[in-house]
Amino acid sequence: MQINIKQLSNKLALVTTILFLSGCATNVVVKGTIPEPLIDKLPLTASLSYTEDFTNYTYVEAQKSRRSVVSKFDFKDAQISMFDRVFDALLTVAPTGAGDTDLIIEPQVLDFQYSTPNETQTTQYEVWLKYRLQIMDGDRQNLADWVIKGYGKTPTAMLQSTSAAFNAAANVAMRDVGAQLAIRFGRQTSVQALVAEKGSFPASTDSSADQKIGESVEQAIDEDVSVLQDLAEQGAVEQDLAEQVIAEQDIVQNVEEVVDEAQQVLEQAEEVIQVPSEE
Amino acid sequence: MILKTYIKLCALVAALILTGCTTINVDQVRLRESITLEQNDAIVVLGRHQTAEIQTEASLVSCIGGRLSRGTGSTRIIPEREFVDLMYPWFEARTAPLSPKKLKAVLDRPLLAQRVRDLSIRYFVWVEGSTERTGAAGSLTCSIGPGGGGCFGFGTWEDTSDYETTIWDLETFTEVGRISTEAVGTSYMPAFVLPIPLLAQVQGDSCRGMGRQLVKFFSDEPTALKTAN
Repeated sequence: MQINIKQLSNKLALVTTILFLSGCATNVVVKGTIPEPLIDKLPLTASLSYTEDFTNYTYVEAQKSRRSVVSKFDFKDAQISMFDRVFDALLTVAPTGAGDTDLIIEPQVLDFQYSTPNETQTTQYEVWLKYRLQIMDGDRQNLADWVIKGYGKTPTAMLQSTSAAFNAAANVAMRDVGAQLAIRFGRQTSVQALVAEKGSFPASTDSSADQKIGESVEQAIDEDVSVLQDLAEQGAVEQDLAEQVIAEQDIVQNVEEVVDEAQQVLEQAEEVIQVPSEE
Repeated sequence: MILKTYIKLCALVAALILTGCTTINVDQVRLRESITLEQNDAIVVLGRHQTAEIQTEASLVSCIGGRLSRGTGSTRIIPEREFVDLMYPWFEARTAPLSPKKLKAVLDRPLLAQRVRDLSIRYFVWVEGSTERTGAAGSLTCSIGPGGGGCFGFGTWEDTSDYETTIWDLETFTEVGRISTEAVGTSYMPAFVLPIPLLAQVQGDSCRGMGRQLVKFFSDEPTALKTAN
C-alpha cells in the first residue's frame, strides 16, 4: 500500500491546528433578549441617552492568567436591547435627542466581573454586572443616581462551550437588572414626585390594586406586631418565672442557714449534756 | 457470529451503565384532606433560585414537570421557562415570592391577575434542593502510546440529592402540602483497558420518586407514603 506523504502531512497539520485552536481563549459575544415586562406604564415621557462609552462597551481581560479562558466579553448589543425593552414598557420613550421629555435616562457600566468553575472550584460560570443610572429631568438637572447590580450563573454541562455558558450566565444577569429596573423604577422618590405632578395613574384599577397591596402589607405588619407582642408577653412570663425561682432559691438558702444554726445548737447541747455525765 | 457477540456485549455494557445503586426516601405532608383539580386547571412547576446557594437544577424541575404531566393525564403543566418569561419580571430569582401571602400581593396587580386567569393556573409547585457529590475514592489512569492505549484502575463516588417540594393553592393562597425526597447513590468505574461506568442515576431517581408522589398527591390519595428503593 503506497502512502501519500503529502496528503498525510496535510491531514496531520489540520488536526494539529484544530487542537491548537481549541486551547485558545474565548471571545464571548452575548446574544439574547429579555421578555416583554408585564408592568404598568408610567404617565411620563423619557429619552434614553446612551453615551459612546456605553454603546461601545466591551470588557477586555487584562490579566494574562485569565486571558487563556476569556479574552473579551462583548455585551453592548444585549444591554442596549435590555434597557430599550424595559423602558419601552415603563415609559413613553421618545427618540434620542428629542426635546421636551419629562426624563432623560443615562445608563453607565460601572463594573463587570466573571468567574469560571476552575477559579471557584464549583460547577458554575458566574457573571456580575453593575450599572449606574442617572435620572435627569428635561433640562438635564440630576434627579437621582441609582446603582443597580445584576448577578447570573449557569452550571457546567457536557458538550457546552465556555462561550455558551457565559452567554447564558450574562443573560441571567441582564434579566436580573431588567427585573429590578422594571419593578423599582416607579418607586424612586423623584419619579413618584413627577408622576404626582402629572396627575393620577392612567388606570383607576391600578389604585385599587395598590390599595389592596397596601392592605395586605398592613395586615402582614399587624400579624408581625402581634407575634412580637406574644413574644414580649412570653418574655415577661419567663421573667416572672425567673424571679420566682430566684425567690425560691433565697428561701432555700435561708432554710439551709436555719438548719445549720439548729445543728450548731444541737451540738452545743450535746456537749453540755456530756459534761455532767463525765462528772 | 463475532458481530452478534459484539452487539450483545455492547448491550450488556449499556445495561450496566444504566443501572446503579441508589437508595431513595420519599416523605409527604398533606395539609388539606382533598385536593381539587378541575379539567382546565394548570399547574406550574418552578425551581427556587433566590440565593447563590439555593439554585435548583433546571433539568430536575423540567423532569418533575414531565413526570407530573404524564401522570396526571389531562392536567396542563406549564414549563418553568415559559411561565417565568410570561410573568417577567415577577418570578425571577430576586423577585419571586417566597410565601403564599407575598404571592397574593403580587397577583393582586391587575395585569398579573389577568395573565394567571388566562393561563388557568391553580397550583404552584416549588422545588428546592440540589444534588451534590459527597464522597469519592480510588484512582484511574489512562495513557496512550504508539502501540495503543487504555485505562486501568478503579474509581467510585457517592452522590446525595435532597429536594423538597412545596405546593401552593392559588384559590386560597395557602400551602396545601410538602413532599421531600432524599436519595443517595454510589457509582463505580472499573477500568481494564476500557473504562466501564456503572452510574447511579441519583438525580433521575429523585425525579422519579418526587414525580410519582406528586401524581398521587394530585390524584387525591390521602395516604402518606414512605418508600425505599
